[in-house]
Amino acid sequence: MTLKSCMTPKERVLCALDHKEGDRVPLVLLFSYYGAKVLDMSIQDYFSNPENIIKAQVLLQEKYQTDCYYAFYYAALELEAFGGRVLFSEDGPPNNDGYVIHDRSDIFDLSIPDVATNPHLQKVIATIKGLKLKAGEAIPIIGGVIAPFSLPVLQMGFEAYLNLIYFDPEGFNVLMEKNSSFCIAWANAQIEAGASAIGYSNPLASPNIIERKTYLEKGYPIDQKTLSKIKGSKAMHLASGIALPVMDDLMTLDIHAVGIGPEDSLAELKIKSKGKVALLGNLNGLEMVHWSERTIKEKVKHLIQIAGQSGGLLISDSHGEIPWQVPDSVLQVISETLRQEGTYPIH
Amino acid sequence: MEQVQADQKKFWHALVEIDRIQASEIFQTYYEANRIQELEWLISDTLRQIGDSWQQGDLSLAQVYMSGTICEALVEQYLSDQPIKYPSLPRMGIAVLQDQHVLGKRIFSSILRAHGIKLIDLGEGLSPETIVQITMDQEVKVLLISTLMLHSAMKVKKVIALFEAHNYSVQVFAGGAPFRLDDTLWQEVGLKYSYSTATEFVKAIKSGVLG
Repeated sequence: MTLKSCMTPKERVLCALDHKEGDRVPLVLLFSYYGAKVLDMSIQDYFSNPENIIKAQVLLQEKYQTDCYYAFYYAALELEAFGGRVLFSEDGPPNNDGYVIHDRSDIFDLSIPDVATNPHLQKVIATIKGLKLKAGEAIPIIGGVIAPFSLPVLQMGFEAYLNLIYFDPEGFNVLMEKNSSFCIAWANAQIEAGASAIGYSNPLASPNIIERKTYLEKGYPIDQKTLSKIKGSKAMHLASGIALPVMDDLMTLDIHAVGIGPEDSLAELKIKSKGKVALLGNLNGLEMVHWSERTIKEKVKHLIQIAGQSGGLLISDSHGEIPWQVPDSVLQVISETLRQEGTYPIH
Repeated sequence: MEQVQADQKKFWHALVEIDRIQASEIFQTYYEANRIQELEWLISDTLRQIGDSWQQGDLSLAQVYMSGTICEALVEQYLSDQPIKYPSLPRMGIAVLQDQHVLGKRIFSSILRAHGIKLIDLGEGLSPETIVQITMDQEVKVLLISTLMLHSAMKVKKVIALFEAHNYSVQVFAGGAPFRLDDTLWQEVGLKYSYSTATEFVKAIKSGVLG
């Protein structure tokens, strides 16, 4: 039996990130609040104890033969760290309940959370440490942060933030400095705890949300500075937004992969990214709720055929977390199809 | 006509470049010349083009939002004393189901108001039960629901069922990212129509869909 035929998930993922063909295309299904479903508990209870996330991640990885553990809780956790509140629902990701920035002066008064003492952040650190004990060197652990350029949507609301971007350069710059300092400290704490890579969630980098010209002027410099100071592998995720129009720009950042959206042109992205950054995606997490077995097989095979050659592909959903509504049967068929069709060399 | 079309291009550029001053100057020129009908065409056609461009992926959500709010502010400033454009329209309200993010609601409201269509803001972060109650209390007969997350979008079905249980007659429309990313979702939750953009919805209103 060759080394190639019995790769660990970590070896498989590293091959993909290095643009080499391992034993098969890696499967990186990102289960966040979905873990509550498999443990049959409420989402609020689930996130109250790191042991729950650890247990669920181990179960899900074994069940679907995925190639990672996912330590990311929910985006609004960073808002909690800044002193905000979160609303838990019965079947969706926890969402922000209000904001921490209500007027301009709040930006200047905003305190950056201390990662070492913040209880919300320390829950995630405990989760990563617990997962590391389970994973050893075999399974990569993916942590997550919200990019400084995207976090203000949670901190102050989309409308107020757009007005800040376009009409208040001083306020914008102050907020970006604070968010960047926090993001760097938070990401590095996760790496130190045992995370192998950091998912850098940045939907506002997508031209679906902010036009390229404004992103390059306002967002790109802060991403460049922040990412250069985060240790370890980084993947930028655009949370279902299209990446192609900014792909050349993103590839100049210190990242190893880009999470791409369902509306992206896979073939064009593969040509651009081959040998440079890996593609993470792009199964439509919303549509997959009602995919037939035939559709799943077609979608997975298509993805492998178009983007799997020469490594550089990690199959995942397009948004960065599997929705609660996705049935177990769909995930099983995704996993089986990948193992059948995603073995290298791809025919 | 050529001049109007040239000005429309300038207006379009001003909006997508988020140049409030240039947009206002063009608007003011037409207003001071009492060219109100041309001004209304300027707004409606430009917003239609912006909506279409966004649909095609050529413009960002931020540009759509800023265009809508710039137009809404100009309409408010210059045209608020004009006669009501669609006096026979039923009472229309807009709400955000479960989520707190109001950008979609704001975009829709701004664009409709820029077309002279008033929407009652019913609020955000609302449960299906609350949306139904507020709709009935406000005697809204056309309800627009904005959603951000899939689990919220799925609850549109519950909203429709609750209206039926109350025997309350209302036309329900819904939109937001989940409907954009899954183009069969509107049927799954029991909606009768699907509109991708606010300007498409305005077109439908003008063609009498709402009766």
